[in-house]
Amino acid sequence: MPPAGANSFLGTRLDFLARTQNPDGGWGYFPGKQSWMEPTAWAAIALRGRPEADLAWAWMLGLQTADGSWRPGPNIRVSSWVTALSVTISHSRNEFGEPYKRGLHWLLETYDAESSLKVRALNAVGVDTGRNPDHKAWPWKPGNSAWIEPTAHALTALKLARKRLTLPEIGTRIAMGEAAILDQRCSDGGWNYGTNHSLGVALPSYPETTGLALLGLEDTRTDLSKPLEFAQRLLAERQGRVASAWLTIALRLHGKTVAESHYPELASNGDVLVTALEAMGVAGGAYQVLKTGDSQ
Amino acid sequence: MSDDVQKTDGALAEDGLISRRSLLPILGAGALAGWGGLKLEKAGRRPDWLSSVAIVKAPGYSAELAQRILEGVKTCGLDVRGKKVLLKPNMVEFDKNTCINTDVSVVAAAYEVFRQLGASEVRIGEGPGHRRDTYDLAELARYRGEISKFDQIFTDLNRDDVTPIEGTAELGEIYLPNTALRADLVVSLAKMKTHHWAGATLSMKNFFGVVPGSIYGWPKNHLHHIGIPASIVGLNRIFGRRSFAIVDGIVGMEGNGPIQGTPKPAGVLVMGSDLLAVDATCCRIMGLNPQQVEYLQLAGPLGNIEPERIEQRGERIASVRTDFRVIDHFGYLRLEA
Repeated sequence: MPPAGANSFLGTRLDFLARTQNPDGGWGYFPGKQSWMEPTAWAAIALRGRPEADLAWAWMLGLQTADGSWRPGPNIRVSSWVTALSVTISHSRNEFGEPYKRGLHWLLETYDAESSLKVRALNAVGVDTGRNPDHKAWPWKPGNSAWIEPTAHALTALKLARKRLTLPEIGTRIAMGEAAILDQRCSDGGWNYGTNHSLGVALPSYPETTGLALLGLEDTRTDLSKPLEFAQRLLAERQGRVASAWLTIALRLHGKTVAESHYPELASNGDVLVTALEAMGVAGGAYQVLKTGDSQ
Repeated sequence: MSDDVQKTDGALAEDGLISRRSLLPILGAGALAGWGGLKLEKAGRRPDWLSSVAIVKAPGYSAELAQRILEGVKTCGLDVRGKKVLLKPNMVEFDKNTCINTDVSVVAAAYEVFRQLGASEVRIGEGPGHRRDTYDLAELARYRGEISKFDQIFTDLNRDDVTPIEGTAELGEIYLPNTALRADLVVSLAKMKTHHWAGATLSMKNFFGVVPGSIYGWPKNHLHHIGIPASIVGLNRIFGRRSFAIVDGIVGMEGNGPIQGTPKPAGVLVMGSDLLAVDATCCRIMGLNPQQVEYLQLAGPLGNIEPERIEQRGERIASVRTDFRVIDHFGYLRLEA
């Protein structure tokens, strides 16, 4: 991790995260709110190696359900996409015990609604469902459609798992997930949140989902030079903080040089998620936890 | 409400995250929704009361907007003194070439009006269906720049703390944001738009924005799998009885709405406490037959849809009717001129 002077871009963010951790070890989306998996996962990655991250991991372990998935929050009985974040963090901590194995198994067994028998049957009789049912990807929650963001995080988790496991189904799901993302690229060069058209009308890409798609496609064999150029153009323009953070992380993971952030100051609304992602994205920063290949 | 849900609420209270006093409306909302859905579905009947809907002409987003909204609210006899009010605009996406969101002038004017009328608290809350970065979207839609102290009075409903509600037959157990559940009155500040899946999106469908993305993802795909009409009805069983609608039809959207349509000036604000009656009135203003819109049909027991059961106050529908273009699939919705 690069040096984090108290008043540096990174230092102010890490200090903010350390100060806003809840007593239970998690983080809310905003300071003082109930702990959720998502901000906790990114804050724990940003603070990796520090005691706060250990406390956070202990809290996260308590959210795993009997089926191996993770819940989005302690009072929420919904198996969720955040399982991928836990599997990634577990990998980064070199913790490969039962929680990791069960989480990984859940990811491998979770499919989108488009790969259901019903949708496959509709495709077989020529009904355009807008998706290729052979491209099994990941939904936000089981039984729903596949979207770019949960698919990208699942791909990161599986690609990290591939580094140490030789299960053939890991490679199969990675190939399907990458195909699903590549298949939904928008005509403008980036990615929308899930599909590139609706009712026959082309949809525009969004900067944050373009960054996330490129995150999921790290280490792919497909030539990504054009979408990466597109992402660099997007980042050079004015984007929101979430989009800027994901574009920065994705471009760095793909070995691209990234200019200084448009947002030197902390988010004025105390947004924990934004703060954690911005901290992760600094040169040499914690984004490397998500690194699945050798592109740097 | 199930024991599990009550137990969860209790746990939240014990953690100090929700006071027992503030839990009362949440528990009440769940109980009311469950009771309401059961009773009305079994009975399968229309309400035995008449509804009032105010139609106020507003040719533009001018400085007189607060006066127009005040006029409509008073016409409907709404009393908000001492109540916690949540303003729920329609903020989904931003495209500078069209008019997707409830105009910032309407939101700002409504905020001032409800404060003037003696609400104990007025907040603004929204959970955009398409975009992750709610605050950036609020910036693009000019909410953040033009509504004073916006960050202090705004809640991102996609990322708010939540409570499970054993709501309705349509939705089953659903997690909803505490900011919306604690409000005594939720004002659906909707935009008058056509919708490529539902026909029209008005005050009732605007409640999709209260469903938290942090659990159900973007674009609230869970609701699409339940079914858009059923989800709209389910959410309105939970919120409809303590809601008020203000629909921004000053400049609406026609064609391939709710995102990719084109601006359509109609020059009206439509308001009322019966959201079904408000939406039915909006449809008639737009030249659409509300009795052919599936979710409005399904919502029948929640309010009034027939013109003879809606008392139109202010302008007459005929005097403000502005036919909105719909995509070919919804051609059957068109009313005769």
